[in-house]
Amino acid sequence: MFGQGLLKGLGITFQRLRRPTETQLYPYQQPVLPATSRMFLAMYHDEAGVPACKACMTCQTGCPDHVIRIEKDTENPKVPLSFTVNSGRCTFCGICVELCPFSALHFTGDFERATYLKSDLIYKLVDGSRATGEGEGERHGR
Amino acid sequence: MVTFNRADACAGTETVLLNIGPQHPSTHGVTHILVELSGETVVAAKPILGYLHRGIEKLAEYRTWQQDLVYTDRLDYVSQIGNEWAYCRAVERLTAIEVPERAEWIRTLFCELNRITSHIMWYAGVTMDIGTMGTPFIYAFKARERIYDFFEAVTGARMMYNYFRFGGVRCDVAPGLLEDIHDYLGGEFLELMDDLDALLLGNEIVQSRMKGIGAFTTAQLVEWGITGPFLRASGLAQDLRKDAPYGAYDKVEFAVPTSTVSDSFARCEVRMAEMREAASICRQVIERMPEGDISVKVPRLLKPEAGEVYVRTESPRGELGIYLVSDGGPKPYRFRVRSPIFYNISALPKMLPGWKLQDALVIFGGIDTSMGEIDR
Ligand code: SF4
Ligand code: SF4
Repeated sequence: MFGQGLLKGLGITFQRLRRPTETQLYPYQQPVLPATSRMFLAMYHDEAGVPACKACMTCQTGCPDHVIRIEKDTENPKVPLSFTVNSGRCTFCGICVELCPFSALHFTGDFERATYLKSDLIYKLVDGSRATGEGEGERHGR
Repeated sequence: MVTFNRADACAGTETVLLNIGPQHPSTHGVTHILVELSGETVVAAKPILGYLHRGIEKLAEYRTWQQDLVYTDRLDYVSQIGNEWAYCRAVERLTAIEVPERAEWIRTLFCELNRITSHIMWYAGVTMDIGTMGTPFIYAFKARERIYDFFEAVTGARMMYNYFRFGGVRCDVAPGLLEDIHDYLGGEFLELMDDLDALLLGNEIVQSRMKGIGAFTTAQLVEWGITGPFLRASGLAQDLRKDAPYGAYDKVEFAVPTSTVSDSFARCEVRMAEMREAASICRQVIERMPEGDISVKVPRLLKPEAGEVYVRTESPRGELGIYLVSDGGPKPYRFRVRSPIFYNISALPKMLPGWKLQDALVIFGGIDTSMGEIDR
């Protein structure tokens, strides 16, 4: 009979209506992310606050999107003077984390970093600050 | 004396050009189809491509073999794992890297999970195309969200996984998670599939909208270069997972759903059956997955010998091919994608004329487009 399938469909809808809601009320309710989540990058520091990075440049050359820019200390080439990550261009692919021979980089579960300015998405990982100075808003790489 | 005859004036028709898209609610991605209408009937159709062109093939030539892997995810962003696998297989064949047994099984598992999520995306698209205003679409997305949770737990991302590596996969899957996937696909998922079946295939309005619409013969489809479920719905069981097995497909049992009717409704039936088959493959893979290594060591800067390779895989939309040329350097000399949907959508000028506009949308929904792969 024509219409039986329609009634069955309505039945399904009513059945599902009585089930508990599954909607997540973000931002009132924070999602529980798995530990593997690839969100914003951060760098490990030891107790004295010295960054784990040894300025070997592996991540800078390995990044497909020229996101990372490292400046070495000329006197002490194993110390990064600045380590900027242009998160606006980052694809969160994880290649840098994987490549780092000193396991200095890691992903945090932090994803709420919307900004009004693109230049605010550039982070200095060595001291964890945001780069907001003159000329810092320009893109890395080509 | 010349009298004005209203009927004649209408019949001495002028055609109307109608732009479907680039931002039409019942298209998929930024599709743009220019149709010429005579009344309600399509007389000519022309897909206009390029809105999502990111130059991935060219970008790939400026990045190392490993870095290109990141970009393959972004080709067809609805079945990412399938693209990663095609590219990895191509590079592995070029460099003669052996993939460990367990890695092949894990790859098969995630490719099939991805096939389910991709077909759910088609389900959402096609139901919206025929105007269901969201109910079946939201129900289907429940399953997609659950499967993306599994993906996120393993790969760390919900869409751009970057999970495969040359010679294996990036990380192993926790046994508890495998059990979760198995339980979900064997229970709740099948229950949901029954509901989705009833909402789409069992619905008389859908049946009357789809049955007999877009009926093409197998010979026509082969001539137009159509692959995937669209072709299989015409009765030709062409599936590379069976015809040229890769991964663990030759070690699991599965059927290739076909239909002999070859209309839009048959395409729906084939895809719904494929989702169930994919779930069954996943369960078999989890039950029989061997222990062992998940990857082999590959040099950090890969330099394959000069040569070329073409690898075919069965993506949820048809035959996905990757053609690579190496000049012996650290970057590909040429990276070319044979995208299944590009061929399918290119047949629209042959498919759509003669059908009513609303039927044309139904036929178009059966192609299951993903513009990311067409425009690249
Ligand atoms: S996650 Fe990928 S894109 Fe982002 S900085 Fe690391 S390597 Fe570059
Ligand atoms: S790879 Fe690690 S140690 Fe080397 S520069 Fe990058 S973060 Fe520093």
